[in-house]
Amino acid sequence: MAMTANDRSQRVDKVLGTITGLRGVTAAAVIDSDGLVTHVRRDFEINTDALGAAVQIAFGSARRASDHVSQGATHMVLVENKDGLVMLAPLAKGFVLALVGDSSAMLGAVRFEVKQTVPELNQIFA
Amino acid sequence: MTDYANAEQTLLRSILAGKTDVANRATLGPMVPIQLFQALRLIGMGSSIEEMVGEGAHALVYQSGKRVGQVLGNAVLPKAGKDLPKYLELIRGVCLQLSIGQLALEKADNKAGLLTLKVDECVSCAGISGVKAPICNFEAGLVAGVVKVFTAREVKAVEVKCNAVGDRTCAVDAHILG
Repeated sequence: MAMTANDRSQRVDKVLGTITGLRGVTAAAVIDSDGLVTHVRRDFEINTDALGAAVQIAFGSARRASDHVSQGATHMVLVENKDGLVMLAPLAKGFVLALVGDSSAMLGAVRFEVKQTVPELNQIFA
Repeated sequence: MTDYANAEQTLLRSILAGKTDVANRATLGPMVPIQLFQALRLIGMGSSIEEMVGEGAHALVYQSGKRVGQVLGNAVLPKAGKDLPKYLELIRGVCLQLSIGQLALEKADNKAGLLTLKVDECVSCAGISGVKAPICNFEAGLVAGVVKVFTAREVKAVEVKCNAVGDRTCAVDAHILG
């Protein structure tokens, strides 16, 4: 039986809930190819329109820069900041998974969880 | 405030006041050829941006249109109240004033939360042909912004017909999200 939009949303929310349950992860969002934040879990206010566009542009720029050095497909973009990190991972159909972590976030754990999560989200969006 | 943000405010004030005259254009006047607009839209905000940010270009253009749509929507909403036809008529007026295109409501399906708006003579793609997929991301974003303001709900707009792919008109489905 085909998944309804509501079922899909619930499953995505559950996955994002698992990610934001990791230590230091303060937000997780799925952004579509137009920069629309389709799902978000966060514990602070975000301008979702601006975030969505910025994520797609940042990921697109990283992918394009990588094209220039012929390193193949981009699996992850990591931004390390003074007070935390932002991690972006591509999903199917132009969607991007974005994570925000504060300085207590464990990079390895977050990275591992993202790698586990991407196939699961792709299955939901397929 | 950045210089672009300052310029945006000046421009929007002029548009919302319905002004058609422009200072410092005594000889050339306020009109420009549509090809110039299309060069800015399809090269400046299209192929050249795409070269730098890849598929992020679509999001950039869509979100820019959405922002303009929200500004226009917020400007006309007090005059329209909760009257959708009146609201869209006022938006149509601004679109005609700016020669964006001839906007018209094609279909409204309240149960499905879907509005389909047609844009005849779309400024972005009139005269353009030979593309494989719709290219009017700015107009789709504009529709998303306009409908978002009226419904006070998030909207996903998808261009379902495009003159540039041979449809002879542009049409945008605005899906009102929960």
